[in-house]
Amino acid sequence: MLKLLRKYPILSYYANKLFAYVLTIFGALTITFFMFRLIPSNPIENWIKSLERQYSVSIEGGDAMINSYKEKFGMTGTLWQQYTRYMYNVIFNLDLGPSFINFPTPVEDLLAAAIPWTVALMTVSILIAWVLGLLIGATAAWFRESAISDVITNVSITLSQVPSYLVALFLVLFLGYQWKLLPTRGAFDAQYAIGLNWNFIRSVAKHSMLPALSIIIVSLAGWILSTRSLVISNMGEDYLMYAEAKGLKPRDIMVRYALRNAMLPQATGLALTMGSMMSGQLLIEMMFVYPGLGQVMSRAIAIFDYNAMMGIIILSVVSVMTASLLVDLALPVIDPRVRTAIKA
Amino acid sequence: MLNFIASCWRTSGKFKFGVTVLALLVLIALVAPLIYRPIIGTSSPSRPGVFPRWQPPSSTNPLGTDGHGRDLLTDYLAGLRMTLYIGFLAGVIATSVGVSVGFLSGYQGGWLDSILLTITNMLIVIPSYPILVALAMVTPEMNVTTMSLILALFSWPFSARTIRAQVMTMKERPYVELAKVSGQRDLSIIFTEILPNLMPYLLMGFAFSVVGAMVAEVGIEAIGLGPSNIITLGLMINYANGWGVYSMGRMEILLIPVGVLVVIFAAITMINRGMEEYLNPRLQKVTTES
Amino acid sequence: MNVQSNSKTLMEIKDLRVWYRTTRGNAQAVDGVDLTIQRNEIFGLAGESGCGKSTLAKGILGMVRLPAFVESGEANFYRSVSGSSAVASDLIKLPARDMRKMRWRHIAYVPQSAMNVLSPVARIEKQLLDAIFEHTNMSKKEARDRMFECLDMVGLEPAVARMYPHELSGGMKQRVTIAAAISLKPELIIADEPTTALDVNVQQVILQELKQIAADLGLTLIYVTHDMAVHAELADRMGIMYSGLMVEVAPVVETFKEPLHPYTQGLISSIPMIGGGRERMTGIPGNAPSPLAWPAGCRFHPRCPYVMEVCREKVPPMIEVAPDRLVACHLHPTPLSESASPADLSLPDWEEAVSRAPGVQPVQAMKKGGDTAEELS
Repeated sequence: MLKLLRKYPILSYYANKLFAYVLTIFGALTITFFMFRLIPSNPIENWIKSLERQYSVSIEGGDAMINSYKEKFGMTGTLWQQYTRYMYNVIFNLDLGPSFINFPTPVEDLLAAAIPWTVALMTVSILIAWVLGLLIGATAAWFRESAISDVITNVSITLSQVPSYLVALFLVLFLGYQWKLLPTRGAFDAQYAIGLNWNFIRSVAKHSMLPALSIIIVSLAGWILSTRSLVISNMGEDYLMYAEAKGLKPRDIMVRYALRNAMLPQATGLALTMGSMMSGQLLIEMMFVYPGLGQVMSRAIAIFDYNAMMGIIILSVVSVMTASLLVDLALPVIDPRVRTAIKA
Repeated sequence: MLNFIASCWRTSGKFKFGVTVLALLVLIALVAPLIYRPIIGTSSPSRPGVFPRWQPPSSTNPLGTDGHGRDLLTDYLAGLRMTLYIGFLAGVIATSVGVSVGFLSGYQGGWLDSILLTITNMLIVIPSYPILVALAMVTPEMNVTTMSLILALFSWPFSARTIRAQVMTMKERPYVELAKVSGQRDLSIIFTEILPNLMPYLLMGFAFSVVGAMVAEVGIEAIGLGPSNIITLGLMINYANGWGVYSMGRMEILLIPVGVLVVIFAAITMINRGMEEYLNPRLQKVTTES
Repeated sequence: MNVQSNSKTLMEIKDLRVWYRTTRGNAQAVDGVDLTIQRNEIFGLAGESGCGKSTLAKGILGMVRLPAFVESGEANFYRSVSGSSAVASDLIKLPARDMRKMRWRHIAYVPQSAMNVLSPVARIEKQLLDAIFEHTNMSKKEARDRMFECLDMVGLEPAVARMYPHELSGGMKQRVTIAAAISLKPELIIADEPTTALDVNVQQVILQELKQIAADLGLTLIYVTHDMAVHAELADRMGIMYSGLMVEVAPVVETFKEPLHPYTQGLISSIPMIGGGRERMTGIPGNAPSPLAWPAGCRFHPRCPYVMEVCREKVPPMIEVAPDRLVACHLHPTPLSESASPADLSLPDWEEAVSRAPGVQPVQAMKKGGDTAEELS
């Protein structure tokens, strides 16, 4: 096996990345698990304790009921036993336990219902912001001597750091209340039947505009800035000067040479951003009462539902790491320089 | 380091702008008590009921009063002070830890590096906001220091990673090798050769941590999970939202804290961009003649 | 655009100034250059690092970017249309679109370090073909044939086309840039220190190839380098540049045999001779001045062993003192048209002059923070 690794150094590169992947996911989940369990104030325990107070005295079999609850929530045994049991369930049974917010619905079901909404909203928003950001950023870089470029840059700098929920606040106040252009709550009008009919789809689209806009505006600013920096850096590169000396059209130079070289880091960035979408924009979904993962998370935090919180965090961690892994795996394929460097 | 700052100032308009605005805000924050003492006397800024509620701007209350009977101008000044302080404190903690870890990791290499790097990566991957909110919720006694610590908890890995990458490239640089070969002691090398070149990244990391901490702090306060006995700009936003200032026709109660926050963020980011412009000569519009 | 019938002149540069904006004022890298380039000649542009040669090249090509800018001047390019007639255009004032059309088709460029000018993520063939497709209507096959023809002319195998730049050696990359430059058979090629980064053997081979190609294709070549030995081998005529100005322009053989300007003399005497006795080298005393503050009068005067009073005050004009030999120096004040008899133009012995020169500093190590402009060639 070692011979194989030595013959194809790229295999050891892949092996390393895989190992780091598994290890980091495991580690992150472990840290989170223990962080939650070690927190002194513990709503589930409190609830159970209140149950104990209420029922163990007055009702027959109250003990048994309490124990069964404890079991269901995986709270029996030592902390270590709880940990191993939980990990085992998650990895081998894909069982995330019952949720507290919607007892007895299992966490997996809750998440499954929420995921499509979050994914839809985030994917569309991220993609729009990315594509627009790249185009505007590259143009701002190309025309960096113009006044418009400066304006774009400075506005983007300001917007990029504004938390998206503040943008959302303003959008709600102005577009939602003041001018009553777009709805501010929910994912769709309850009066329409869920399904692939035109009314429903249109309603969904209308309802997602404000949340999407909040995300897009801030994200867009970030992409504009990073693309502009990248393209400007590249512009100093001699191969762009050479392309210009060859008399190629500016548009061609920008697309074929400048963008192509800037694309690589930006595509990587896109993959990583997509990966982080699962943590859901907590505050935005709360504000718009949007039935996605953020909504679930906020309800879970409010009553400290371990399982639900852990479930979402697991989803998020795995998603981020997977995106990162895919990028690492794809890099040798896309960039010929990385290929050569690995062989060395 | 002062050289670096001076050069950034000379080169970048953005840097000038950011530093000026930030300096102004810090100045206002520092002299804030002088401004609000005349208005509220010796009581604490967060004490409710000092004035009648919901007063429009008047001679005693330049911006009016809020729903708790507090002077608004005092609210904002105290809030600015506290927000800047928390951000700064969290930034300092995060950067110190981050730089130490990153430096150790990069300089020593080997198994220590692998361990530290893995821990750093693990923390980066965990979504910070939900956990911050959860921690904020369950911390029994929330005060400024605890808050800063919590905020710093998830920022330090980013500095650590950047510093580590930088230290690792610098280790191989000729001037370090030269110092080693001429028998300079490790500690001395660290202070004379590596740290000065690390300064820009340190400062940039610090600026990012401060902004990150403030964003997180506002996020936590805005949903009401922060300490309510200390006024911060985030808390003001929470209140403004809750009081429905829009329907009251007093939008400025919401707009002012948001506006100030945006200005703070913009200023710090401009500073960062300015440093970037200086470091990356291609982004410059004017060369520095060495 | 006038139609000229004089087809011998290819380009006329008049009073070209290209400056750099810096935090301490304008660095006047190219500061009033007058130059005429003839068709089918190989013109060598010589001068030490920092004198403004590369900036001049970029200025002609219209590739001046912030923080550099063109302050004033003309660069009249006489593009031949048919037979003996030519169309003149001022490259400096040409609008961007027209300049773009002019590039590569009529004026090509061989850059300084080929290492960096080839995009690392595109294959060689793509980088050779894109200019061909941009400027001509050739079919794919015709373009590819032309590309392989050019690769062959520079001594590269057809297989190189499918490779990536990082798979080629430095010499091969340089050859690729030469192949690219000749691909559209332009009237003028400007080569900016193309062989400086290569080792001497490769350099030798490439120079020979260039000479052959230029002869075969009837090209006009402006070759920029500080290496006088290269000029001796390659150029027909050469121009010496110092501190942003031309100081001497003459055919190569005459320049080496009988340099007219003290600076030229100093340059030539700095070339070590192989064979002969071992002598101490004198070099040129002093340091190159800073483009932020050129010396008054003749810019060479602080370092000139023949300096006179007038040199400190008046800028010497560029005069033709012998057939086809121009120089800007107060030692040669009479133009050819005015001189009665053929004058003796030769300068005294350099080493003696330097050792006797009043108050001129011998060669010193560069002081830290001195006035030498570094990246401005």
